[in-house]
Amino acid sequence: MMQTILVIITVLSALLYLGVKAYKAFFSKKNSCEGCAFSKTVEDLK
Amino acid sequence: MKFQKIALIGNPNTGKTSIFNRLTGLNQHVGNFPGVTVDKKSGKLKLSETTVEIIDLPGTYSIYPRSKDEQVVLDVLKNKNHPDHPEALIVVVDASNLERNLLLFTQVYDLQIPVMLVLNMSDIAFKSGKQFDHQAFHERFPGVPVVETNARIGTGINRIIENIDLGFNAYNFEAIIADFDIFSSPNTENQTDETNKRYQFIKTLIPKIISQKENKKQFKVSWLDKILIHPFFGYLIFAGILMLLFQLIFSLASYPMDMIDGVFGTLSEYIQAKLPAGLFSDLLSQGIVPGLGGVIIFIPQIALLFLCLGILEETGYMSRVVFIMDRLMRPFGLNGKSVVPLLSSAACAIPGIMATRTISNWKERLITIMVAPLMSCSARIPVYTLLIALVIPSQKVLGFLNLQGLVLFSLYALGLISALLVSLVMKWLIKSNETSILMLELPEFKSPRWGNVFISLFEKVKVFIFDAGKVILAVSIILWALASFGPGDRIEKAVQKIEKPTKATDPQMEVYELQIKNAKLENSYMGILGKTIEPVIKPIGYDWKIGISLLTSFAAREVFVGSMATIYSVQDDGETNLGLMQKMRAEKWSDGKPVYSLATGLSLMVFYVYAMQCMATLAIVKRETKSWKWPVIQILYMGALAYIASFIVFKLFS
Repeated sequence: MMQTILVIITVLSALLYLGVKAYKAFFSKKNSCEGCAFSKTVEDLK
Repeated sequence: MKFQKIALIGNPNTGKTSIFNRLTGLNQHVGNFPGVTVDKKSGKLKLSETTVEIIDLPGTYSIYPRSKDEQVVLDVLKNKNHPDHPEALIVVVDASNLERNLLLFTQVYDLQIPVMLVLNMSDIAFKSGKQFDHQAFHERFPGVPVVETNARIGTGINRIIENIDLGFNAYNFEAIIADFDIFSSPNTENQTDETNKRYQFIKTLIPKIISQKENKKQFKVSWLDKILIHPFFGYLIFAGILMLLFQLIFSLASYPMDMIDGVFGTLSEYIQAKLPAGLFSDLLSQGIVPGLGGVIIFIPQIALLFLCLGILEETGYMSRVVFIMDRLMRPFGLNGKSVVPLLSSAACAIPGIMATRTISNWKERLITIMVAPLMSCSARIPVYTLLIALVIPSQKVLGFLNLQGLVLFSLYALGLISALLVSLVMKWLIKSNETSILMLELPEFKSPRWGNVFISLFEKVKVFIFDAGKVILAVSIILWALASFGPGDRIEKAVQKIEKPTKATDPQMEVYELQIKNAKLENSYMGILGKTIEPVIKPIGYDWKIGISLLTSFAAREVFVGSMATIYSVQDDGETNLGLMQKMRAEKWSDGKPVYSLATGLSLMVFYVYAMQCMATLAIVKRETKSWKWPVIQILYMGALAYIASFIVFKLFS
């Protein structure tokens, strides 16, 4: 039972992590892109 | 006057970053300047009583910007409310080329911000017979500290720190250009006029502050450059260096890689044996450990690649490469400035695409963005090396070349050639009359600054482990779940259908066990998904397991290896500690032929040369082009190229 709960938590965490990462990469207006090693894009200079 | 925030400013290739590294050590942080997409490096310098923040501003020839990087310098300097506006500046100049470097210094001086002048590479200047007259300089610029440094070995760094600790400011200020005001944003004509005036001033200043002795050493450097940038030998030498690099990657990295592979195999087996049986133990031994192993095993190769590239960069050779490649790029509709983004893309397409901001011509920038992911990035190395080791024999060609290294070199060459050909097509499709030039400085040849090489190496390996590693781990966990569970009782029913041999000693028992494992995997969610896409990928030689890895590696290419490790580990139930390669080698089609034949291996390699398997790169393209149109075009054209090329290769070698 304990092992099953741990597996559910781990799998859900992995899904959440990838989902948040994909969202941040494509849609976030925040000043960082956790997913990409070098990118910290928000908006271009005018 | 004590400071809390100081910025380093200087022309490119003056050793500014080396000074920054010397001042801050590993105590630095890479972020970005607010509101823009330019990397900002800052770090802390601990003094006797306080701590000072040191900011490394992008390299610039003048405070008038020609690119977005240079725009940052102007923004930071002119806006006192800017969070990165410094209280003082350290202007780092190349002591052997003061004539050009002093332009920026004179502009900064006229801004009346406290300034220190650092004459870096003073050893080279001294060897070329140049001597700096401190007295004469102080007569014209009283209160401006001047420090002669050699950042490669750290000479003079303590004097910079002493001056920061004491504080500094110019007195008896006498402007070079009276009423100089960058707030008024003068037009280009005024800027040219002002720049000319400054150069006239520098021309009269130089004889007063520099004494030049005769020297014969210049000859050696120009002789070397004549060969390295020669229209024929230059390319030959570059190709030779790349070839050597790939040979090294295979020959040296294989030892630590075998060791890591063994450690993770044993760890998986140990967990399986020691932990109580259950789902989480299975997840650990079949999902997480093989997934982690899939990341860590490639550290030796990645470290070796970046070590070699770092050394080439540090010696000044890479600038020569940019120069000779510029000649090659122009007929293909690429700007000379495209060379740097494309070469950066050989490490990672993301900084490469971001580096296109230095290209002012929109068409050339767009073409560079569109073809940059065709350059073989470091994320492809794990995929390439796994497949090469799997299907290409380790034998010598022409008596001294390793065939595996040669294939790796060919894959890189294929990426570059394809990038040029696609550029040529795009040059015809996108019309523009704008022209642009490449301005490039060939720095003096130097011995590498090992501190810089290793700091950069450390950063890149860290990025690979912690950024790519987290994705690979998360994907491995999800893959394990998809491979371990199926809809309803489908797995149980499939297992029940298989006839069990009556005796445990029956030689058919092994076959039975294998059938059970395959039935479990094929009826899992992953198996169902894989079987669904198999008809599409079978013509290019792939089975459904490769198909699953192709899908997951859309997140990032290197996920392919972690995915394969997880799939084969689940199939294996974590029972053996055989390496991934041995498991893949043993994989057979239903007719008994090996899945990983030469044709399939080559087809898969070619697929990864072309396919746009990188979510982060697509996101960056979308942001840089401010539209979904270009990333969609990119994924479509690269996908079509990948499929067609893989199909041709598979048919040719079948």
